[in-house]
Amino acid sequence: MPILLLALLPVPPKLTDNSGRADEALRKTNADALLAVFDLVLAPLQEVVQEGTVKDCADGKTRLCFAILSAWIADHAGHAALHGIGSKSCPKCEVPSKELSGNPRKIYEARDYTL
Amino acid sequence: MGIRGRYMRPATIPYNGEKHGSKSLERLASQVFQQVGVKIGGNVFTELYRVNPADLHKPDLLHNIYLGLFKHMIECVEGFLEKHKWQLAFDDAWKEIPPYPGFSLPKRAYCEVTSWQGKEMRNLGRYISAVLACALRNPDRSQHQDFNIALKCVGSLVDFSLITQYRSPTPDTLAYMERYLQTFHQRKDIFLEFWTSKSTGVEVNRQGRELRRLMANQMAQEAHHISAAQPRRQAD
Repeated sequence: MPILLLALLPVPPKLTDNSGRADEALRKTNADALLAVFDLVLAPLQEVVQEGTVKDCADGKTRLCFAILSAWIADHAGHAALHGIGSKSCPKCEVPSKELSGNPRKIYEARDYTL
Repeated sequence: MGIRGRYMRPATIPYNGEKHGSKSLERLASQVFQQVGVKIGGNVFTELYRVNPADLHKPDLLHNIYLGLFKHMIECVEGFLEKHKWQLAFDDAWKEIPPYPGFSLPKRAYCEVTSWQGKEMRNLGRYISAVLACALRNPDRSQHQDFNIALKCVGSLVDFSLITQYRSPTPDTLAYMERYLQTFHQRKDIFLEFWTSKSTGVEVNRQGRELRRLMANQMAQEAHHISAAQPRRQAD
């Protein structure tokens, strides 16, 4: 499996524990920095998603391909950071933390926030 | 109703320029965000074309089973053995695992393993059920029921993880997975006291309590991910 290093994610500075407001500001800065890095990394992909790119196909023809991000393999802590959710939240749905060990069959609202 | 629905329906946001200032709206919004677990930072995948961020999460064996559920399972099993003072029998059974083709034996005694990586966890899944059954084979009358439930719980989780490794699922194997997961959920309460301090009745230090709380949350989270990934039948 070929692996290509695209970027190194910033390691945020530790919270100071001095004041709530300073920590809140630092959290916001950390989140913005992460967002900025991902914008940069995923920008080339966006062109391909919109316009498509011509690729050789296994049947010898060339085809217009659209590379769409469809999966992100990470552990829960990784997903929580990238999705901007709390550690007790689900990246897929809005299950409240109190109901996490409840009925496994219950279906909750999906996190679809596109307007 | 999700966050989107709440914002799309003006009736649920009692905003009135005169009655409610921007601060109260901000407070209301932060309450709504808090309820659904959304933080201030935003989602890095939101503005991607043709991508629904909620679909990006895919449960995988390494993160959700081996380093997720299995990790918590052995911590719970440790607590369980400690409570019943059965660790020695477990260690003895661990040492006696016989060799078998295609089966990698643990090189160290259970208590000597310091780092549980994905590979160790995968191997552990192959023998934890047998080792535990062997260790808990002679219970007292008072322990009998607890041991049976604990074995069923661990066994169903291991069975689930084994079926997930099938390359091509069929309706039958999916039904098995669902059944094992259901059994796990029905029996997991036996380990509840090792997840939270609520029912222990024993005074433990604050750090221990915090650790167990986090563990319970994480375990519930991983179990939820797996449940969410299962094909769902129409609710009865």
